Amino acid sequence: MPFANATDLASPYFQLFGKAKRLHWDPADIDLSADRDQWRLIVRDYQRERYAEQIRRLCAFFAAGEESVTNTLAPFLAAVPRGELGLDKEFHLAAQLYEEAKHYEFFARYFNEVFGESPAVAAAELTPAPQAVLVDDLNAVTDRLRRAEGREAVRHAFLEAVTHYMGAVEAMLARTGYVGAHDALASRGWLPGLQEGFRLIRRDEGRHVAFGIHVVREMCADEPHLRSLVQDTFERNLPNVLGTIQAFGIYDTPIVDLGKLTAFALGAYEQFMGAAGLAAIDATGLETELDADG
Amino acid sequence: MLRPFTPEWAAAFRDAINADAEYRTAGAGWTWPLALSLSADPARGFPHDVAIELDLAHGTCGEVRVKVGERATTDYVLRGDYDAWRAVVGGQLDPVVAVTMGKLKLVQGSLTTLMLQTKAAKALVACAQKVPTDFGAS
Repeated sequence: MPFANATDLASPYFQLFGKAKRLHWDPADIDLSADRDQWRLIVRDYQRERYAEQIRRLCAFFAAGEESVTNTLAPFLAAVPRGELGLDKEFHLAAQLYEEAKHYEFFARYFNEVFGESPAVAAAELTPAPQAVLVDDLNAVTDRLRRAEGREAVRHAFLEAVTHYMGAVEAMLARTGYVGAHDALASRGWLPGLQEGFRLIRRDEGRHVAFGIHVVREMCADEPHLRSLVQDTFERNLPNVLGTIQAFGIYDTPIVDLGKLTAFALGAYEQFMGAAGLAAIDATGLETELDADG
Repeated sequence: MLRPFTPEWAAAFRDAINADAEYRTAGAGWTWPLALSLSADPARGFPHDVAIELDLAHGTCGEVRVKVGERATTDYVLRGDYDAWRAVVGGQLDPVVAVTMGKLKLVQGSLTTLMLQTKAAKALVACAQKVPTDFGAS
């Protein structure tokens, strides 16, 4: 096998790649017919609670976020050989890029077929906090990764980018949001197609977050001075991450439980800091949970 | 009943912290002096900013200082207006959510460190809630 010498098949990254292959799903297979019927009723019957507006806004944040992470993952793949980071990471990242594209496809389909509008409108829904953490700052950090030269500079830029992408965006926002949004719809019995999409995307996000935790733990254990890079990246992003969650605090009756989402997001943050050796928290708890996700 | 952000209230708050077994555990990892800063609100009887500086360390509180019209000099400073502090101390607003919503602003200190100490923050607020406090009518 041409990669046998370069890839440890027992490595956690290769294991994540294996799971991605086994848990394949196609956004085109999700039945949205019941959602179309229910959506009209939610729009009509919950005007005071503004539930339709909130669901559409959640989906707009997710769609814009998935588009952004699809656009910005390629530099991670290109960095792996430059930083001599291991082919097993490239395997995982290749699967992740495919999955990010599918996630965006799901929301594009949902906007077209259920909301009856183009997914291009999603980007306009982003307020300053999500615009910064999901798009502008993510572009900036991946651009630094793209431009980094030399093994050490690439490795440092890779860790910074992983902390932003898999830590701030995927662990604190995406996975948190999918859990909260799924719970909000499931408790009401609403929009089964959207629920299924949230469930499957959340399962994928679990693997992406696990990748980030493994990278942070591995690199910070090898080079403890890199811990400050992880801390600085979170310090820069936390206000916008928390501001994104609180974007739903403007509603009198938020469809998601903001206190629960905040606690969930901070739990994910603690696990990343634990993996970096910056908090006395054992990240295996989250890994067990991520394993349960698939 | 004590008026908030007064020397008497600050002393009672310190005593509540030092008597609280839960804070002793939850705050064991918090080792930085913290100031709770109230923005001036003349209509509520606070013509100047007031800061309560708490020398917190390992689950206990040493000295407390009340600074009126002076900048707090502690490593960590949480600043809010009267309504925000009333909601937090009154238990209507979770302190962590208050920070994430910007109702309480961390004007000094590391947000990453503070957010790793959410249990300590909640236990500290629970101590404040044990002090009989008169915030007056809304």
